[in-house]
Amino acid sequence: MKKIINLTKIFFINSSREFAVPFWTIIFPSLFFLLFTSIFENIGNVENMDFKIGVYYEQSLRGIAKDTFDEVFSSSQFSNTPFTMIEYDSFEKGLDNLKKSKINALVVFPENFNLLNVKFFIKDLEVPKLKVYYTNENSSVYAKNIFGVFIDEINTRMSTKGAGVPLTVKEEIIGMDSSQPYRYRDYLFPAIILMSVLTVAVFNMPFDFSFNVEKGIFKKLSSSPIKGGEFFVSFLLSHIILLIMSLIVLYIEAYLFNVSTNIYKPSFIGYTFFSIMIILSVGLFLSSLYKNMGAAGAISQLIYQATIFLSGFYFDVTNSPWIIRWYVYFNPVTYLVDGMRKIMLGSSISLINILVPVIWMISSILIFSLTFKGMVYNEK
Amino acid sequence: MEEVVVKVNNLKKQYKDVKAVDDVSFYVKKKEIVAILGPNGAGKTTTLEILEGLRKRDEGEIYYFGEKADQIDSNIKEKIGVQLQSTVFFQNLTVIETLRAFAGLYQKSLEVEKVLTDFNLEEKKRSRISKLSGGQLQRLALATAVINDPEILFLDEPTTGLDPQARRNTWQIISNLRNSGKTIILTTHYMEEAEFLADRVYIFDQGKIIAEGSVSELINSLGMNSIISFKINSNGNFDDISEKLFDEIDLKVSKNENFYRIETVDLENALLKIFEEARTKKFDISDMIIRKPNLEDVFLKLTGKRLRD
Repeated sequence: MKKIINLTKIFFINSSREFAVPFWTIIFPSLFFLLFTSIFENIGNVENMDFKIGVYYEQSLRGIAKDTFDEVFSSSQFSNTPFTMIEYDSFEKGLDNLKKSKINALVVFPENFNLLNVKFFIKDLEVPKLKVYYTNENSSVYAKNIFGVFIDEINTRMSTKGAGVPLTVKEEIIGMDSSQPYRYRDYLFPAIILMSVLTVAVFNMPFDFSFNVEKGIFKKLSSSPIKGGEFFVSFLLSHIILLIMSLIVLYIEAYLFNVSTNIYKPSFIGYTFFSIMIILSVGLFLSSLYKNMGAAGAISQLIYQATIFLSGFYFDVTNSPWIIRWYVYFNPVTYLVDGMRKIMLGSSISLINILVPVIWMISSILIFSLTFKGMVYNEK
Repeated sequence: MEEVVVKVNNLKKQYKDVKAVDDVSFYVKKKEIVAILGPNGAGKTTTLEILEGLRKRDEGEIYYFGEKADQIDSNIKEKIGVQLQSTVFFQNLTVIETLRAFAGLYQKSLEVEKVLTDFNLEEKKRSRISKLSGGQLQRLALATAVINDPEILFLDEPTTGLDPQARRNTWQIISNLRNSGKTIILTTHYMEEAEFLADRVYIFDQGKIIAEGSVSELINSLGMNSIISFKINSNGNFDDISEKLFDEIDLKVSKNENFYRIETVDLENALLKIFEEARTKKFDISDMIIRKPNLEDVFLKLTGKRLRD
């Protein structure tokens, strides 16, 4: 144990004194989170959005109610609002499209809503409430709120035709149990964590390995009584310590930025550590591929960029062209970032979020174990 | 009889088609310095690394302290110190951190401050490795090799790449280590190094041991006392400066272009004959060097090539 602690300390101190290592592992992800949240969170503002609202009529509108709605939606007051109404012939289809983010909100005009026409004459009549379905996405919350403004306008106009028939709306959030809206910072946070882990796995570890092999440092260590297992654990631990420091900084930043409290849930933290182990094991696998520093530089850069952009870190990639979609499904990070986001949304993760990454981890460790000695002694 | 601490029998190691170590057997006695001398690619480093447990042997037996070692395990590694041919240490650690780090890998170790003083690294102890000169790095490499107070030290080309002054300093350190009771096995392709340091020498070529013995034994085996080398200029008196030039006198002559090399046991007589021949055949002699034979000559005689070819 003393040897592991000693060797971990050596690896850690040596890495952390290299400016590039703490910068790309700790400082850069923090800055990136700050920058992207500042830029892209504003894109969710109402002035930047093109809202799509689905409408489903359980019964067609008639009479004064129809006239008033038509009047409001075509009025000059809303003509400049990027608001598109899409009519659905089934409630299920509308709800499905809402869940797939194809529309921002779904308004359902219930059966007997036309009783509103009669309410002008019979005040005590109970008119079924309009139902507005929305999700935790920023755009959906905004669409729902803007629709509330429409309803206020409709109420105002209806009161001019016959007072005392205020229209009420029943709101229902879909797809999540949290009342907190899902913002870009929540979407981004898992990606930033994994970006930090990827930096360690794709750059730090293979570079360290290649350098130490090429320069004979591992060989020198191997001439001491240190065992292969102790050596391996120390190397891995030194990188995990760096990652934990990175996570602490990111969590402090997340706290200051008021990121969803779901990130403090044990399930999220547990899955994050699971993700770290998976990606680090892939890092070991990559280390076994490289024969020198030059190869490490080129291949790592390629893998890092491809993974960053094709794992759904910053945008949805499930609809990417088939020619690159294979990478989306092939690389384990796609499933990890998806799993972390599911936990953040309060959903449970699927089997595939565990299975594919675990297959990667087992294969990676197996390959690394087989080539480990050869690498250390520079005989690969 | 002095105790044999390392014994190697019929060691073999092959890389694809190349026999790096080809049926090598040797021994090292306690407190002696044994030099493994040979050109690059002779199998010196591979042999050493097999003994250090860094490479697997294909065949052969290794004995440490009289006991057969099927594996070079941690018990043996506790008792040996290794200086590799080229080691770049962790660049961002300081000298003292590096020594402490290596000390921490062994069950017992010397006091780090004392080692710093012994290897003249006291002033540099807070310096990062990346700031050290070649000589300082070499001293640090030696210091890390002895930090566990080993019984046997393996030094793989300990002075390669050093300037003459740094090389002399390193030789002095190695001599001191021998005086402190260490057994040292070193590889080198500098014959001066082997001559200065080694009690016994094994000469390697193409993976085999081609000669062994003390420096004086090996040199005496040449059967010559002196080597005379010089350059001749014909002054246009004859066209072909050939080996036949000295055919009429009884000397062992070899030539390379117009440089001549003569081995002799009778220096005075040989010189007389050379100058007499020069006067008779009217050629000039220049750049004459007379020297004692050395290990380079032994290697040249055995292989027909120079150590650094």
